[in-house]
Amino acid sequence: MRQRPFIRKVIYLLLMAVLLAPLSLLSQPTTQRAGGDVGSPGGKLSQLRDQYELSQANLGEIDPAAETIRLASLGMRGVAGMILWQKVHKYQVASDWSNLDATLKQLALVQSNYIGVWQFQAWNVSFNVSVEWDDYHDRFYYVLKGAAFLEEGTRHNDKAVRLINDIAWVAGNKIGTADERVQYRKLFKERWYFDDLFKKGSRFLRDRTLDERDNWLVGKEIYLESQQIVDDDPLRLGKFNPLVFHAKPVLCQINFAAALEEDGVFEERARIAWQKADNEWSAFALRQNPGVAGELLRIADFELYAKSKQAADDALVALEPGLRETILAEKLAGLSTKERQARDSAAAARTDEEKRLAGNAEEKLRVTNDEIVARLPADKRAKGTELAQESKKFESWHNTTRGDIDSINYNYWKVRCKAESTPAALEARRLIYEANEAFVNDADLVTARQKFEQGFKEWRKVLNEFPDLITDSITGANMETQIQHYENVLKQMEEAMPKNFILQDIIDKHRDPSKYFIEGPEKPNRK
Amino acid sequence: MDVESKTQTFGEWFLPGTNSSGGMVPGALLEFSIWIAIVALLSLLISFIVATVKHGPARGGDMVYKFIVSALGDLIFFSPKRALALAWLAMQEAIRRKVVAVFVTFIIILLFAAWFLDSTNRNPAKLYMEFVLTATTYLVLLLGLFLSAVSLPQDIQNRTIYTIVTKPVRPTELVIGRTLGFVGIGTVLLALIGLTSYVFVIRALDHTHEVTEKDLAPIKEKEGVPAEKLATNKRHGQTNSVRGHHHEVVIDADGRGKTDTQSNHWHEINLVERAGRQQYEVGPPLGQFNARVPIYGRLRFKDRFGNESIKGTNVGDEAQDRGYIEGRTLSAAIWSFKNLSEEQFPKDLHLELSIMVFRTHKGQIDKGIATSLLLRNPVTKVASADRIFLAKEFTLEKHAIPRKLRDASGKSLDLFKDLVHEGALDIEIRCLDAAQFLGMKQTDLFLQAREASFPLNFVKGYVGIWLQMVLIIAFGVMWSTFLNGAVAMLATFSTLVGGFFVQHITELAQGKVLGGGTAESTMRMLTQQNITSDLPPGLSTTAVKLFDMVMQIPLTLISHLLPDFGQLSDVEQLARGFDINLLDQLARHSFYTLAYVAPVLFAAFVFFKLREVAR
Repeated sequence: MRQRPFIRKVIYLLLMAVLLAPLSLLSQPTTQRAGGDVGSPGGKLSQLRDQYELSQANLGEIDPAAETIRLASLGMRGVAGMILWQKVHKYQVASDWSNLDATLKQLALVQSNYIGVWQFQAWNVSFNVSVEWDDYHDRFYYVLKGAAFLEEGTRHNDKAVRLINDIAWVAGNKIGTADERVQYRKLFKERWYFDDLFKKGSRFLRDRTLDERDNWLVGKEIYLESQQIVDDDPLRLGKFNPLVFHAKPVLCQINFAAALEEDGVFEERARIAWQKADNEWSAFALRQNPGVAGELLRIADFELYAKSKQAADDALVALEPGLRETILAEKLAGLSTKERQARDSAAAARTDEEKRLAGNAEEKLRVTNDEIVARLPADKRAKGTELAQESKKFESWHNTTRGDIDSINYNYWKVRCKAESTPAALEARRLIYEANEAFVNDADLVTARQKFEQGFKEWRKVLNEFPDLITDSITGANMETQIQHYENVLKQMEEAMPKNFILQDIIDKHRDPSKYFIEGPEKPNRK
Repeated sequence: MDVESKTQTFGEWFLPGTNSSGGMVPGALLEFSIWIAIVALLSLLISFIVATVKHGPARGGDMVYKFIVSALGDLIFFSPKRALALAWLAMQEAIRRKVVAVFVTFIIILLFAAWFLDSTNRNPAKLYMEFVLTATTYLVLLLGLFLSAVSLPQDIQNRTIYTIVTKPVRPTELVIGRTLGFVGIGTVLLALIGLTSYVFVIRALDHTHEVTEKDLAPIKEKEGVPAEKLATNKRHGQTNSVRGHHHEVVIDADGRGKTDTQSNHWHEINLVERAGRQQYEVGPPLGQFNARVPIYGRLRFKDRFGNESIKGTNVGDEAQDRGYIEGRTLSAAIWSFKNLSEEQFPKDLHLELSIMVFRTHKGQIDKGIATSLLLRNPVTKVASADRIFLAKEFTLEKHAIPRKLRDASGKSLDLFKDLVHEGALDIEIRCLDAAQFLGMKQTDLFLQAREASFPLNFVKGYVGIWLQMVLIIAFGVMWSTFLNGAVAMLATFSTLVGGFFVQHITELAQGKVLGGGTAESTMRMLTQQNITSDLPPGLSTTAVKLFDMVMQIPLTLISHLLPDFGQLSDVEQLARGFDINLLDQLARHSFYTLAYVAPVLFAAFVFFKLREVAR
């Protein structure tokens, strides 16, 4: 009898040991070897953590503060998170920035693996909190503080492409396209803000020369980092549009080249920057992008797809010479008299009804590959089907690639990079910059006018070489602004616009009379 | 606590008077007296009814009378000596209960505080002080709760109480003795925690920077100063970055200098010789712990046509606590000060202000908004020339206005002879940029006659916490006289939680809370309706609204009976670097606490006397 409790205890202990075994297997941590290689992938929990990109999967990467706060909230993490979100809002309304910063830090510890929390609050700081300050130095500080918050997020969630992309966005677009971009870009070159805000090992604290410390170049570097992660593991792309995602680093290079000229840097440095942008844009066209059915397509092969389709079509027609013409003749015979008359009439003289009829007729006369295949002799039908399918495939690829080209405005940037790196464009930019300088800073109307006119002559050369730019709205708007400044100078000299103005085609194409007003040029940045 | 009550004097708060909008206010004295009288009369009435129901009106009345006489006896023949002896016993008991664990807990919290506190914060002193003061408040209140609510019921349960009540001890002595004992031990712990906190805050924020010769360059240009007039032997540069900030420094030819103000502090720099080499030594942070003694004026506005108005323009700011003035119009913000004297400002008139900016257009992006400030005699209307500066937000900018001034025409003026009239002075702010706005509230501008001692202010902040502790101990003792341990603790805890949310309960009682009372908000949650939409008309809506209306009666009673712990807390003021006024604030807090503690202890005595053990 006495032994019974003892036996019971032994059984309990054994049961506990048995239960501990699967637990230990489940929760085994990942181990790292000295060289940084993963030794063992760890238990199921560890693998799941790895799968969901929770960086604490490895021993030694555990953040004690975040873990303590999670433990201290005793499973009420959700409630704690909710209270902290409300506090953030309350402090923001009350403009209590020191408490807002402190609460964000706590929030990040409570919800450190929620990418959305980092993204939302970083955006909040960079975009909403920063504008609350009137002094642009303070605004810049808070813009960067958002980036610092994102970077802290990447420490908890390494390889979180969304966060890395957002950091690059803040460095590039937020700083480079802000109203205060001239001031911001200048501040970006100073180390102090970065030393104050970023931790050791930050992307922003890497050794760079003064020229390299450009917001666009740093943005590009960070985009490339996220691109590398996606190249290593394409699944990490998530919901990003691959085309837009991979275009970002090159667009940063383009923006860098444009910003250099805005800063008054021309000639060799600007030319090299544009040249580099051109090369990178061409290289971007060689990237394989997934098409509709998962096939990998390249923008550079756009023409090739069209040619291949044509070759397949030609081969199909060549299988049974004269068959296509026969089908066409039959179709022609099948048209109604009115349709035939409408089709035969001169296109310019057609009435609306005739236009409709002619359109119908053309549609009816279209000989499809399927029609040809259907009429092929039996022995050639298999080959014909194959060729028709090939034609269809290339047509689809061609269309998809055209969609890609349009969606990222590929051709515009291509022409722009080429045009901007020509000596004429660089000279034009320099002359226009100097004209603005002469007008705004020195009130020297004569020089300003002279420089504007010389600049426009150079632009003419560029437009003649790249006529596509004339119809392009971005170039048009840019030149239209320059022309307005020129008109302003003339107005102050009490002179009218010259007849046969050298860029009249730009005015005709891009001036919107309803929005038209003349304002002075913005004060350009001194180098 | 709102701005209005912060700038109130003790007299204004204590005695009947009028508020800013001209309405009558009864004052704290009258209000407390009325409520105490109501509660006392109600208690008597209830006692009489209970006794009557049990024993008939004649005997019941007699019992109540005898009880009152005996209670009066207990009060009159109260022996402080015996009470102190009992207090000592309570302290010993508390020590046996290992209250020191609270102190140990606090030390552990401080040890790991650095993990959670952002040392790179732009206002670290405020953050750190708020943290230690809040942590102290919670810990000490919980300590008071556990000590006071558990002790007496446990004595009764263990029957150790008989060893005391069989001795010639009056219930008053027992109640007051216990309370004093717990307050005593709490005070010792609070003092220890306070001292540790002070050392923690000072040490945690102590830091220095480095400046080396290569960080410095001669000053070559300065806006508005011709190069030949600049002292060329001065050099400027930056320190290294420590704790999320760096400083701009200016160093004289003799190697001495100072930094600019960042994160609310600055440093002094000296050239020293170490190991045969000369190097710059940056001193400890200065000016981050303040105890400003502000003199507030009453703020009024002028609209764009120059008409007087109480509120400024509303620019759609969500907080809605500031009024705005429009640039380059007749719009102005005017602070009227009273009782200023030459003795307060023997040299300059020290003024601090913080202004919000609201731009309706970009304007010049790299320039601040031009602001003008002038001093005006409220009677003779003589005014000083405009003092023009750029508005700076979210920081207190200091201005020293000299005694000798000039008016707009260049005529010299004396501050106290020409501009201050019998202690009254108007300070006027205008915005000089067209279509831009400047925003301000009453406390955004104040005069600073002197700087009080920060350590003393720290102590004053702890007095506020101490008063809260006394209050919770009194409540704990009261509940424990007639409830058993766990229930007494729960009751005290409810008092504490209720006390932190008095404002909210008051708003609930007045039906001012968005989304309705308890029933209505529950319904909204269940039907997933937001707090602003109207509920669909119908029986259920009417029922919940009616329920909430009925609930407003007990809520009103509770809101008047519960102590407002927030009233006693000066944490924010201390953390923001403002002196806690001894008379206006601490005296008010003390009176407020006393007004609760006295009746609560009296009730404790009555309850205890009614219990069998005490007879």
